[in-house]
Amino acid sequence: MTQISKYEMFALLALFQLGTTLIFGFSSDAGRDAWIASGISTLFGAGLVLIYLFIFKATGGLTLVEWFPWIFGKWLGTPLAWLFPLLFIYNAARIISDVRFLFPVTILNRTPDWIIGFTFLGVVIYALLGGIEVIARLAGFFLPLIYISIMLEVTLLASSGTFHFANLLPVVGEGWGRIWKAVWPLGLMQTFGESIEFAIIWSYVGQKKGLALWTAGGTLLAGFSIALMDLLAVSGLGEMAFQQMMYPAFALLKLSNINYFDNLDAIGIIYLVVNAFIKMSVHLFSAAVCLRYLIGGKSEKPMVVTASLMALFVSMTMVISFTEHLQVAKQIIPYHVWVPMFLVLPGIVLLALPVRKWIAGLKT
Amino acid sequence: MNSKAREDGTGLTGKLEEDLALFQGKMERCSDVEYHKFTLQSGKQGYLIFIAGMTDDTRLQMEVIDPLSRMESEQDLSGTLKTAGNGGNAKDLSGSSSDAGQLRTEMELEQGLTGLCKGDTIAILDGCRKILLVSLSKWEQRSVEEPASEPVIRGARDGFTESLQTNTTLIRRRLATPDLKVESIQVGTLSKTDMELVYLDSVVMPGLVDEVKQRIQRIVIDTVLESGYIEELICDNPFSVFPQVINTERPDRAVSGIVEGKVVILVDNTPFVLVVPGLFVETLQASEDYYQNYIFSTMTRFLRLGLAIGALVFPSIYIALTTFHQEMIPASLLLSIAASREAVPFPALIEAILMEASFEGLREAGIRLPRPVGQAVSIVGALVIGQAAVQAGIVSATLVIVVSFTGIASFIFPIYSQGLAFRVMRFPMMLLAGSLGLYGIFLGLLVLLIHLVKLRSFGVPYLSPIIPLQAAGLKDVFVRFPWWSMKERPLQTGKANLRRMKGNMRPRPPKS
Amino acid sequence: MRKAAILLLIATMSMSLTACWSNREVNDIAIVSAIGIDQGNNGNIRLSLQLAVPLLIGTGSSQGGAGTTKLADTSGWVVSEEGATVMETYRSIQQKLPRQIFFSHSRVIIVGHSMAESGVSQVLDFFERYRESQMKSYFAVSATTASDVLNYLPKFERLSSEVIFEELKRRVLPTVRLVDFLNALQSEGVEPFAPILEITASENGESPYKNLVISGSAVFKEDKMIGKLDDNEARGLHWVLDTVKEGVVTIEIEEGRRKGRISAELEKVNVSRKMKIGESGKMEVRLHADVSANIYENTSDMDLEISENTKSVIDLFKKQIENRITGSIQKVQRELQSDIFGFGQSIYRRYPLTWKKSYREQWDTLFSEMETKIDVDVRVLRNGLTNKTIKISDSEVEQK
Repeated sequence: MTQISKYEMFALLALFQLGTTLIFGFSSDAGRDAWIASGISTLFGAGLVLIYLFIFKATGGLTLVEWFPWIFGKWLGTPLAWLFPLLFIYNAARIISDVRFLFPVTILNRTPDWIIGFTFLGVVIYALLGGIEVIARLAGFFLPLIYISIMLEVTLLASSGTFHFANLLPVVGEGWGRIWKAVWPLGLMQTFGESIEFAIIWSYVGQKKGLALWTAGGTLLAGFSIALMDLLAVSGLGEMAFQQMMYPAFALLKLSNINYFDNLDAIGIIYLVVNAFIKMSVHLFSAAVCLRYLIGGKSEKPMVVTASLMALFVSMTMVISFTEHLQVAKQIIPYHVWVPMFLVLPGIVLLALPVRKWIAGLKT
Repeated sequence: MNSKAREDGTGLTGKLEEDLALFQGKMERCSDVEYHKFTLQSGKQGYLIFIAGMTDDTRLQMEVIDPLSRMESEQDLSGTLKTAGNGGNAKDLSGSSSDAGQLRTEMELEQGLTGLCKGDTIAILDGCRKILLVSLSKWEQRSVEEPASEPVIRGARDGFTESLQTNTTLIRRRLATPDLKVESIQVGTLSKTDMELVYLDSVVMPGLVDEVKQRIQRIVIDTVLESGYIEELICDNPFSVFPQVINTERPDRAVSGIVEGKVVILVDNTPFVLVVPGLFVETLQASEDYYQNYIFSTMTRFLRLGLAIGALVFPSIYIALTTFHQEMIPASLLLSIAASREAVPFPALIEAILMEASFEGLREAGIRLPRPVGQAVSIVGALVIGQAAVQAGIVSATLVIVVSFTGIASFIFPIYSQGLAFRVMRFPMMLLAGSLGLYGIFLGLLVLLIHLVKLRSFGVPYLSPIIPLQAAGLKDVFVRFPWWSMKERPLQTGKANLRRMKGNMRPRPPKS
Repeated sequence: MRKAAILLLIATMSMSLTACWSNREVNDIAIVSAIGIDQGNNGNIRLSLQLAVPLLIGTGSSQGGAGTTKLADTSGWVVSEEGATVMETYRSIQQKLPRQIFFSHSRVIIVGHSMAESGVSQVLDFFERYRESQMKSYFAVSATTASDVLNYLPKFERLSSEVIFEELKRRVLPTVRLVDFLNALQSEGVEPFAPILEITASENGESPYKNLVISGSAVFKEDKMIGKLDDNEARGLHWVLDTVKEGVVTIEIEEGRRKGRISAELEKVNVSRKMKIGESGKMEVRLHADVSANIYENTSDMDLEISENTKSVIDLFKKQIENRITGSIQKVQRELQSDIFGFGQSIYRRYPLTWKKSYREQWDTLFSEMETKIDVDVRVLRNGLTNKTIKISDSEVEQK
């Protein structure tokens, strides 16, 4: 079986959680306090991810889909388990949508969006056919690259005098209300809740000792980076522009005003391509593994292709406009899908664990 | 066995004239084969058969023909011939003969003929069914010269030649240890090309030698004219454009590979030896990096890496920026590009492909052209591509700069074949840039990266130690650490014997 | 095989599809270097675009420098059209041009005087939303019409937009980028302002040559221009906003035998502002300016070596700076009553709850009643290359 190292898992997790937030901004509903909301989300998020890891370990290394049949038995558990691959495919479809909406409005005006979705998915499938190992190794390579880009961006923006930290004041001026609103449920569920997919990835990690440390580390790194980017975006753009812009982080890149670096858009494209690639790969890989388990097959490869094509289809048909796309992301998904599946179901599993152990104890 | 061989017609009969006829029949219409009849004192007759031009005539006369005519009986024959071979440059071909090297006996006609074709002298004797082979081969060879494809400012000036033996010697002289193993393999049903696997027994990557042997023994091919045949027949991913086997003309480079736990494959009749496994980073490391000051070498490495990326994407970035992302070009630069492009009739993509193609054509022609014409072509070509094309308004001046830079950059690779890979990939990248702009470039780079991550060379990930990351291995990738700090062999191949130097080797001036 | 097939597919795809999509060659775009917006007839707007003509800019070699010798030459070409919205007008300009209009390199947005007075928000929306717009463009108000400014014939540069851009970037007087202007427009407790561009004669009297200068600041209330600050008042605004990077302060020396002036170049200026709720419950702003300066001109006979003299010079400098700031603040508070200093925002940042409770609603009136305290610290770092002033012998002075 292919194995990945802990560093690779760390990188994969961090990039997965950074996701497209480097472009879209995170918790922008919290206005200038978005960075606080991100920070809080991160702390809770790290807790949440560690709970997933705890269940993973307590079940003896069972992957996400195997939890439910194991706890609830075949008849109740299998249908529940089926929900997850479908959700992952839907998540992947949303990433495709992110990509195909963003490029036409920023750098590739008038290019048909299906071309972008198609080519991007093609690359992801090509990588996925090499297995999780390829994705993990790429993540291990991209993580330093992304951080070098972030440092470059911050340095260039800072030296062009873009940041005005007074824009962050007053801290919590509008009270904690909007911060909490941003944290719950969107801040927590988006990226951190989605990390439940690592309950599948973890089983591929060769050396499982110290996994919790690396997992928590990856989550905190990603979360605080998001908070930092929020902080910089607010201080560069001002609260109003930050909230109004569809892509605050991208707008920030455009503010760079050094003579020889007219636009840092290219860095933005790197962020987007790399992060979307990693995130989509993890989504589709998780979906493929789940499907393979549920359908029962030897290889993930046909599942990868199936899942990818399904994601493409869903992405192309689910929404027409970007506004609708965002609307769904902010109002429907978090409450009706993410909370039950990322929180309630694992919560039940967590509670059922001791019961299950007790029953197992009775039998012996 | 004798009788069986005779019945099959694969051996000798023992009757001299019949046997001679046998040889003559086989070597019919081979005017370069000579038959020399000799008579022993005892009156027994025999023939020496050899190929003119592949045999050392003076030694044949002095060490074989003269003693033979003085010889009493056939019993002395093998002894005499044994002394004759001493000091000659004979070698063991079969590896099984007990008379190492100079003298062998063969029963099979076929084997005798092979020996003959490789320059051995054959002696047959009346009443004797054995074929005696004496190695007195000698032919005209190129002497050891400076390698043409990998010149250095500082470093050894000797390069491999077409002679397998010379090449082995060049390696052996650099590694005076019994640990250095030289195993021989023959490939090619017609060419019977000799190959040697050279490695250090105590250092070589475990399992590598067997793997290499297995892959080579699998090969059934009529001829092997160059090591490129072998390279293509043993690599891991035959569809890749990237060289998964390093080829080099430099003995020092080969030896450094051996010392790192790799296997070097020498192939007869070519100065290019193969080093396996071949990794990506090696193709960006010149042997001179290790001889020059390490700080300078580090700078050179970064330069090389930058230019390598430039060779791949510079024209595509030009295309992407000028046709898709004009907002990323600083205003004043954009205006001058626009001004220089005013009269150009082609879109940037076509323009760039046209120019790149003509540059590649010029390069190719420069190699193929007879030497005296080469000079003229390069001048005319430079003029055509450069000044004239711009003045005629066919291409923009900016693009000429881009193409020339790319042209220079694609020669930056110490390993020429990697340069070829980058040169090839440049064209799909340009197409991608022309259709999807920067997004296309990044997508293309991503596909290349995925391909490289999937690629392995003899089980070693092609991009190691960068992907998968091995922090210790990075001492010799982007930065060339000083020798006194590189205490260990590269992890990916040198695991068997990691330590290469004692600790605390950093020189310190004596305290006074 | 598979890879080769993929590559082939990509190659054919790109070859066949490059014709359409978003690609446009550099010589198929009309690069907009500056945008001007004026009021048109019937409530329409008049959009003027300054287009850079590459052929006229040329590269040194291809043009042989022929076009550059005459001072009156420009490489810009101003095209304008009237329409109901910016988008519509832009399309109708597009109709007249053989090349696609390309906005991304426009670094300056200029609004005509009358347009500014009637409100700018409806014309700025396009620039916030449109893909090619640059939030970092500078925003300015023309003293007359925007197209006058765009049609200015530059001397140093090839395009008037370059002149405007460089001048705004040097920030002799306060300038704003579009992003700053929009932020000020939309945030509470701060009103926007913008520099005013004016074309003046190069020399006194009727000179054929003109200069394009920043002269003062346009003060907005909401999105309408309600008044202007002259050069000196704008400098005061510069100080309050703590954006002074360079400048000269001159004082008059009354005492001594020879009266004269001393000018100092500002080296470093740092103005901090503190908001205090005063005893009467009134908000009070305290500005503290920390100034380092070098004296580079002294036409009086004051000996700057003597520490007492230095002290009195410093006092005069303080007075001068204080007056400049106060003058500006008073004008804004009394006459214009628009909080372009962002005092309200500072209160909000310092006392968010108090602000919301008692200031937000009636800030317009409260602003003009606000008290300001200014205190200035001046340090003279260097006296230039000489210590003494040019000596005129005592007798010469007496003889006069």
